[in-house]
Amino acid sequence: MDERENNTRILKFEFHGQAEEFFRIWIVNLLLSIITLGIYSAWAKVRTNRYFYSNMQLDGTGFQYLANPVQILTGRIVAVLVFGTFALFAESFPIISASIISGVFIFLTPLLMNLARAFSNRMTAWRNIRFRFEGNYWKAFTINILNILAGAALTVVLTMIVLGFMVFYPEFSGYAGWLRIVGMWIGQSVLLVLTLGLLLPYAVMLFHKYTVERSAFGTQAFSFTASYRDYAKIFLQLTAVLSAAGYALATIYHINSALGIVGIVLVCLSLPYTGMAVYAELIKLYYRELGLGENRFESTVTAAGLHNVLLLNTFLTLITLGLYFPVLKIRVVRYLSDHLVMKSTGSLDNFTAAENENVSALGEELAAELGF
Amino acid sequence: MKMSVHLAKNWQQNSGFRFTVQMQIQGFFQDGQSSGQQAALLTFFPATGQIRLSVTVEGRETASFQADMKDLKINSRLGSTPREISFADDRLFITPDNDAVDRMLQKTSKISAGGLLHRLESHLPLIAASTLAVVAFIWLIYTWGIPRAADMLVMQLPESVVQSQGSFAALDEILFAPSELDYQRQQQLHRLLAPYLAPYAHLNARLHFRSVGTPNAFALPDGSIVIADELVTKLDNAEQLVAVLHHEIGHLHHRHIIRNQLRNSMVTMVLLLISGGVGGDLLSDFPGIMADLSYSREFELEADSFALEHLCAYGISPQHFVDLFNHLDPSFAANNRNSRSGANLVLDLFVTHPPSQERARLLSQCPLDT
Repeated sequence: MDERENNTRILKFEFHGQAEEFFRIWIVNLLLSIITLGIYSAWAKVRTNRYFYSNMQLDGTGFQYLANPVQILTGRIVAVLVFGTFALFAESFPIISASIISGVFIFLTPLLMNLARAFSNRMTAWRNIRFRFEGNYWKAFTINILNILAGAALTVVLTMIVLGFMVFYPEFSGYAGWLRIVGMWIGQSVLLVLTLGLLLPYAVMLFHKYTVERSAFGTQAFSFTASYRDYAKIFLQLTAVLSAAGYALATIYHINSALGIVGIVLVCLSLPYTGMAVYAELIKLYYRELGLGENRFESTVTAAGLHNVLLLNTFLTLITLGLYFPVLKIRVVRYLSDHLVMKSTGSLDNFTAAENENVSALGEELAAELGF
Repeated sequence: MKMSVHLAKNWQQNSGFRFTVQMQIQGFFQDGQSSGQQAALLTFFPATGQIRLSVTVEGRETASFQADMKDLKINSRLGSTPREISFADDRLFITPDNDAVDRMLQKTSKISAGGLLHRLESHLPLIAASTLAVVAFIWLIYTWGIPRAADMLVMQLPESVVQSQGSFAALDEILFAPSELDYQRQQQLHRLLAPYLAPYAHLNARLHFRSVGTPNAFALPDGSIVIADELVTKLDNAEQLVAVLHHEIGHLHHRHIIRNQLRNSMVTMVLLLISGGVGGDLLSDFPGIMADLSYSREFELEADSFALEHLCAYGISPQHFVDLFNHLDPSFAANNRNSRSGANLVLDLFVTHPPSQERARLLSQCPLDT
């Protein structure tokens, strides 16, 4: 593929974390967090992140997690106070506060997004060179609004479609009935293509592009070459699969309801796989278009691989009441790193550090409360 | 300072046993300016507390510098991950030789909390004990801590705040259809139950008959009590309807919906706090569901208890209460004869409504005997 194949070194991301070792770290973290009424959780977070970063090696060198637990604890206390105040306020004045809070959050979210990203990038280093992030408030604002709009539009359309199936389904009889049904399908498909197929990938692409292009390793900025077409292709395929399955099911159900129920169960069982297929395509696209100077990346994750590692381990986590969680985390990270390489054409020794800047952990902790 | 160093060296030479005057650790050096890395040798002089770092390229020393041990930042030991030792000016020495770094730390007077953590993490009996302790603690939080705390808070809320949570009108639109009981029958039932509702004006208790689809009854925080047509038609007599009504008033009186909401959000909050990014969604969501179920059971029993107490006060026989459950749960009679098996106990955890036996046991609280 690459003409300079001879000069290209394939560098693996190697993850050396061990499930058994991490379990011990995790359970001690949990115990100490409980004993200290949550205060230790800041130290626990640093220890956990250090474990995963250090064990993730590129070209023989691990990554570093540099955050200071005290910073995180401070951020966490402020976040809890802010949210506690909001929650109390919301409890006392439900209607006024709903509008005020949503207003505040629309303007606060982009700021938090930027601060959180900046903090986590600044606290990550490789070969003692830190990553960086330079946020732009109004760009983040636009992306956030677009995300909210895409989510809302999709919710409305999906609700309409589900209600359509449940309430307004025309009779499957005669020429007129079929005509109305096909008319309805076309209408639904158009709405689904506009929201899920075209609007959502645009929002996702803008978000990826924004976070990648504003990140840097030392003084070297990351580049992102993905086009809207790449993203739209993935989501249009998803739209096509979902529509086809939906219409087939509806038809079968109206012909024979018992068979229809079997079909619905089968489709529901295969939904996680469909989700993983989209996830795998997005991961591959993201890394294929990611660049750091002359260096490129490649991920070879597959839908089946993600499905196996996530589904089986999530199931085991559920039936062990969460005790299997550390193993799940190790397995997932190992799967992702086993399928990721860096294609380097030059030396990795010549990246240089940028000026130091201070970023507080507040943004990250507030953003974590918001569920980013 | 120099004097003491001199004395220390003399003492080492004069004392009979061999003593390593210096320790050496192999590793890598990263200067913090560029992403290159070089092999490096760290030498520690225990007597002076000084460190010398020698950076080599292809076996030849290209740079070296000195530092005082106490100016270094040495990361706590963490599993088998390489140790990071930071010097001033962002310079970094990394070594996989954790044991050597620990020996070096032992020679200084530094007491390291990080070392203690590593010992905790390596101590198998302690890990086993921690696992049990964590499980026991989470259990305690669910069954005791959160219920107490949430109930204390909810019971302090003014009635107006409780009633502002969740409105009947919205649910009525979506979930319920108008009652199919004829108008006269509805009026008759309203008249029958009005005296029983009267004492609960402060709860804003109002009765609605609706077609719901299943034989059921609900109480919403704003004081609305919904009784399903399907339930009304299943009942044998007015006393059973009074029993149902008091069960629902019990939910209102004890503010069950709000208490349940607060308890569940507290479960999520506590888990987020203690797991702090360690747990993640799985760990906080699943126990939340479990807690939700078991709290509901507790509330059902509380509402039963409330209903029985008031039925007794009105002189209505608790037998009507038993009949009510025989109606709604035909398996009750059969179950009642068998003792509970282990499997039943496990299933109980996942069931929202308490088993009928537990309800029947409540009957013994009633002084009126049948």
